[in-house]
Amino acid sequence: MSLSLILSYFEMINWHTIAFYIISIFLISSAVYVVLTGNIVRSVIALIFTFLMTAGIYFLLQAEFIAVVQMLIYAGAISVLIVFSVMLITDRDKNINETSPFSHNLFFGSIASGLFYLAVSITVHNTSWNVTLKNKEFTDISLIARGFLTENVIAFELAAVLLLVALAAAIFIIKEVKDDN
Amino acid sequence: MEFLDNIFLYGTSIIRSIITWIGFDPAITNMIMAAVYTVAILVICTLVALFYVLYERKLAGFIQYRPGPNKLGPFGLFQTVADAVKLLTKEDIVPRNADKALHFLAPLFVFIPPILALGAIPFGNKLVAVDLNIGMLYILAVTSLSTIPFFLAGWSSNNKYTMLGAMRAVSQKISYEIPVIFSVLAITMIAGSLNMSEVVGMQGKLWFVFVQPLSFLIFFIAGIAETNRAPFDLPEGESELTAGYLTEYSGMKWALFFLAEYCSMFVFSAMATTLFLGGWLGPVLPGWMWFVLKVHVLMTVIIWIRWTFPRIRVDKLLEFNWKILIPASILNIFATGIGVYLFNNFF
Repeated sequence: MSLSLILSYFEMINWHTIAFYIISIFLISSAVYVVLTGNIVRSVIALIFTFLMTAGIYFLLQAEFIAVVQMLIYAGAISVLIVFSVMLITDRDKNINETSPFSHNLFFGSIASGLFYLAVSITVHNTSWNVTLKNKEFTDISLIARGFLTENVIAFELAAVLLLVALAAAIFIIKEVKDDN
Repeated sequence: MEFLDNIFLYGTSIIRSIITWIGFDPAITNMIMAAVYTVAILVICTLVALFYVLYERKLAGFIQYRPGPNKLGPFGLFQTVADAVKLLTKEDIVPRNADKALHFLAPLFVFIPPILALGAIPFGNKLVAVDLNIGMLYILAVTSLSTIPFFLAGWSSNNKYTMLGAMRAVSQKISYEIPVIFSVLAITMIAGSLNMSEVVGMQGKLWFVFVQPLSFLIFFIAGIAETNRAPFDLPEGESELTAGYLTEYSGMKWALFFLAEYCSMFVFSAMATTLFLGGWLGPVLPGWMWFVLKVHVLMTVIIWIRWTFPRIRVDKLLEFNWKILIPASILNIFATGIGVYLFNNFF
């Protein structure tokens, strides 16, 4: 085979699709591993990997801002919360698939997840998506910021109030425990 | 001078033209170039770690009025090489009840955040691997992942000291992330952009450190805590926790943690340089040389602090963050908001 033939073979491949499938395989297999593994820390690590692969999909769609926010909030912050609660578990060698009260309902669980899958796929297929080649709304974050502070200001402020309430409640609960001691 | 300023850009364009000359199509050329950038960043990381290990030991010697490593080679320059050989040949000990896979992976994971972050840092004019529009946010997102390897190292070793070290590392890093993000937010408000190169470009007349001195101070203190350096190196805390999360690591795995610490220090100094000290801007010398000089000054200050201040207590550490740094950074954001409003409307 000559070099030019190999090169022309390379040109036929759609690299974007290949990247999508590689990321998807990692994404789905790590998500399955989260559920199947008995070790809670490995489960957390696989979950973080799943978050990162999801961010990879967003990067592939050129939605940089959403990808970075996915990394910052899910992989960076939410996972650390889970890690915190994992560290409080004293018996580290227990299989969570045996101790968890939810892992015995295989039948109902599969029905529920099947229904969820059905609902999501029906929604995805019946939505008319706005396909744009220049997805400026995703990359230009000043547009997102303007949206937060003009059109969707009430939802934005409500979310802020909700977070404040959660913060105050957490501090209140901690204080109660201290007083009992 | 023009040539020296763009020497690395010429290098990459030569590589690119060679690849195109062979006959690859643009998609593959871009992929190969990405690989070239990655290798360049890996080389930078390695060189930085090798240089600053020796530099810290020399500086510590100077501060403590002793020569430091001076036996191997001229001025002890080959000490790091000898140490590397020693560490590579050491026996790799893994505790019997450790989670062996995670114990192996933790020292590898610890290198990922600094390497990913270096990809978005401009080392000079246009000298950046990926010039993201949201570069600042990207670097913050990537460095927020650096908590995970320390937790993994501590947990997988199955030892109470490593576990305590991991708990400290996680609580310290997640708390000190907040002032880092808030101080960067103040810069974003002034610059109106999250692009690292644009932020540097705006500092032509005045470095942001003079506009935002409090923000710089908060960023610097929180950054030292984020990189686990003294006086905030409690996760290691050898006087109470043997060596914290590092207790069960030996040989090259331990060395990887050690080297990654210098890499993340470098990333943090590079961020501070870009955001506050005008990045590559400066007279006479080529841009990348100014960048390296500024980073070097910051690294020297971090090392100087380590050999000057004693370690603080863990409850003081968290109190200092939540009661001083975070309120100060929030006040700073308010003041910056008012300042930006006044500047835009009345000047």
